[in-house]
Amino acid sequence: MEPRTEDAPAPIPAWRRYLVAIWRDKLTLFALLLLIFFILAALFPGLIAPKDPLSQSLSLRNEPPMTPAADGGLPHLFGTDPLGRDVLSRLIHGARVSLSVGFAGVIVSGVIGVLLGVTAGYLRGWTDDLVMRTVDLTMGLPFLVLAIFVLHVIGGGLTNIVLILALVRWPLYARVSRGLTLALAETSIVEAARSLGCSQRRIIFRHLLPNLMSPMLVLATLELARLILAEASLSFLGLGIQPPEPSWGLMISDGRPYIRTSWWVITFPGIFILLTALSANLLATWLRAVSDPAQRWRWLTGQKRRSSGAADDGGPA
Amino acid sequence: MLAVVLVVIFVISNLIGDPVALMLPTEATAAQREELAESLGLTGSWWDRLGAYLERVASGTFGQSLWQDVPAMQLVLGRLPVTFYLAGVAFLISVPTAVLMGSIAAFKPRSLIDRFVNVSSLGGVSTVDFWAGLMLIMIFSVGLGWTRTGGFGPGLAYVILPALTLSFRAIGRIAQLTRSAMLDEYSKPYVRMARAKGMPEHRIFFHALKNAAIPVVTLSGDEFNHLLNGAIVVEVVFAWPGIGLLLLQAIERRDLFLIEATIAVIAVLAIVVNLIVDLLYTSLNPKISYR
Repeated sequence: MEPRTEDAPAPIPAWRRYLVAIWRDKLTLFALLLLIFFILAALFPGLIAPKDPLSQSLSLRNEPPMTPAADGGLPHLFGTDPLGRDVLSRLIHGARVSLSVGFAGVIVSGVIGVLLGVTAGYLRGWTDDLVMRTVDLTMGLPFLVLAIFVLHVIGGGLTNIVLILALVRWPLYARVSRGLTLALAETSIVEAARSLGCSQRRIIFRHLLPNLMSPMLVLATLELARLILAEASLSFLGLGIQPPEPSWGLMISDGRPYIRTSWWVITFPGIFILLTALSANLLATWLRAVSDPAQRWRWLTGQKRRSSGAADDGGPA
Repeated sequence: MLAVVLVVIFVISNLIGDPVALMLPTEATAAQREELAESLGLTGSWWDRLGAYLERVASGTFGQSLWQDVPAMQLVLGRLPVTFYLAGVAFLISVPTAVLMGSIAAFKPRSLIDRFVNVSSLGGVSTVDFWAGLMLIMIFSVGLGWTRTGGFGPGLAYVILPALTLSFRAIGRIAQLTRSAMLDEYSKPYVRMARAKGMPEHRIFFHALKNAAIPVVTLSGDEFNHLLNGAIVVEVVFAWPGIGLLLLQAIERRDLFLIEATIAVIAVLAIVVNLIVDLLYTSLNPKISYR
């Protein structure tokens, strides 16, 4: 998190101070724990989910929450869906889809965006023009429309969604990282490195990139929330994840015809989406405050009166 | 810009995908494919297809819609006002609500109201719009029977739910920005000066609000673009016959020319709105001017 330079003294182990700071801020703690739970669910759905997400039962279609299961064992806590599958288990398995799309999309778009942004900002000239004109064009278009169009042409599925989302979201990272690079390139760190004869590659990778890490981390956390929402929308429209794969967006679209009779089929997936995105957004807000040198001390030293803008300047982009 | 958009559309539909395959169901035979390709002039190399595409674009119709058998552009333009109506109502709901929420929150930072505004605006940005729409349908249409579940018609009963659904996100973002812009203004010397000379708090409030308006207006314009974007999903949920529903219907029916026309119109719209936002920004902010 700390801005690093080559010859800076080793920083005091910071992670403990950050842990204490999170512990003090209950809302962020809640968000972090929730996100960790979803990540665990995505990694080991079989251990957490009480039932098989794909096993259907025609006698148990659209049963309300707490209906006893046919095989004994735990009741269907969140009810069953139109095909008699356990909603809770499908939700837990669905976390894998949502979070894979979210994390993979963020990583791919982030790496492309930051590399292009830094290169453009450092080299200037025609590279800069080319990259930034592409950025302007892509960001001017509504990204969901573009994603819908491309997915219609190339077909849905996990890999395609990740690729498309990366394709439409990288310009954001490029724009921000280019701006920061322009500012950093003027500083004495880069000047010193250049006069010592560092290669351009070394300046970019050892001096510029590490200093971009913390703003990019904030941006990536915000984008995680946005990509999860985008995946849900695309799957809801039938252009994303294909059945029978459990995806939260798809579950809502499956339950939509039964809105009059079975509220649980669409309500719970939406709550899961909301909670995931909300915790990512809360975490991003906190990261932003903590990574801002002007505000960090208040959070890490636990002053009761927080700076008024601490949690809120800007908000999710 | 427009030219680039048109080229992008061509590349996606004709070079990445196969237009004939996109227009036929997957079980179509080779003979059927050839027949369709022949009748639409989609044969030959990509160079020939580019020619056919440009011809369609240049005629202003983008080709004949296979689904309704009228020029595609005519269909799209017919649906455009319907979407504008929806986005406009959503805009009128969200901007005043958000500015009110944000400025009240900034008035007493760290108070209960402030925390409430904070979390609820974060919640607004974290909700998927189609789900929020379904929840509203469930509560107000199915449960209470106050509003329509969908469709288009005159009167509030039709437009209110989709417009509310669309406004959640915009409210969240604009409220957060208003709050931080107001806090910025409150910390500036002129406010301290005004307080020192005993100006009543409500007059200070309006002074600050006026100055905080610049970023808020810019973001609001940007959000209008997002409203058009979000309208696609929300229109599907509420069967609102706007441009977003048209796009989805065109995709379901594999009506490629109609899809191309819809995308082109949405892209042009986005560009125009961005331009208007830039112009507004210059005219509002005396510090910036394009001479």
